[in-house]
Amino acid sequence: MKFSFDPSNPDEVDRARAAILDMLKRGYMLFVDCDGTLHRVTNFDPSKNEYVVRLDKRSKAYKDSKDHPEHRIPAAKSKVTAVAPTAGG
Amino acid sequence: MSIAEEQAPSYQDIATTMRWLSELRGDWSGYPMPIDGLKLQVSRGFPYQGMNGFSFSDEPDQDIEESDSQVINSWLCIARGFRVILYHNTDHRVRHAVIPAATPGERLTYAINTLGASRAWDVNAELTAMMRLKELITPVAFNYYILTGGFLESSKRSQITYWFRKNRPTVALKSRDNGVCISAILCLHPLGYYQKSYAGVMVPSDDVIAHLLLMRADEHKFWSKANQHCSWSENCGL
Repeated sequence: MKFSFDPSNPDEVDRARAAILDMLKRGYMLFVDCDGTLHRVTNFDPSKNEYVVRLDKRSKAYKDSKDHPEHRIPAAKSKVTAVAPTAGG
Repeated sequence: MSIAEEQAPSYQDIATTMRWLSELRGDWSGYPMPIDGLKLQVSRGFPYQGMNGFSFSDEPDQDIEESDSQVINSWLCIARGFRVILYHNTDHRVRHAVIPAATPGERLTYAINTLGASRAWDVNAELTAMMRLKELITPVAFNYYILTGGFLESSKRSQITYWFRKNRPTVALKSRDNGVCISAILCLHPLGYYQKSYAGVMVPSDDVIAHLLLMRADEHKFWSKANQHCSWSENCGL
């Protein structure tokens, strides 16, 4: 299933926001590509339309930051792949 | 062909109905397709846990057949590749049995069941997943995938090389001074899988994409989410 939205259309933004929050609530894993690096989305800020991701502890960005703030990626410019809740085989 | 068989819906009919139903209920991923003779195992996050262990079958469940013997304990002897079973009969004398942990027959069962599970998959969905995979990996790796059903990718974080395979668990390889050794066999399926097979309920390349993305984005999570099999077990696919 492919899901896209127009950032200038408030109705579509609302629908996309609800979809992301619902997926995270149902245990889906969302992966967002940022500058060629893949991050797993840990949360979503609906007030700012930003994905919250956890940085790899060994990454340069993590080591450079003193208080290890949450890394945020704007949803409007991101391509995200969702994976359904998993079962070990 | 009997009248009953003619009137029975095809897997395609059932898949179409289930897709319609999942969209109606607002579920994002669709529903696993039950297959005759193969039991479903769905993920904990799946909303309909009643599908666990379900299959289209008129045969009685062999797992719950009554038996005079009762298993007290069993464990794997990794060094020798045997399973040791302690049991007692009606006389309550404790006995033991030692059987090979993974016979060629068990491996064959897994392979044949995977073939059977392919009835649930849609070819167009597999082609779409392969095109998505093509965007994620290098052209060389994709050629390997088309020609051999697998490709290698190394993690910069852990220095582990992963062998991602279609319809088989991912093999984690670690380089050592005297060669390469298997760290673990990692098995994981989005939504669920068919028991005693290598098949997930989603098309094979979707499973490969899930493994790849999870490894790249959160390798620690990949290891914690996946079942880790020994290299000689029947479900490792080696």
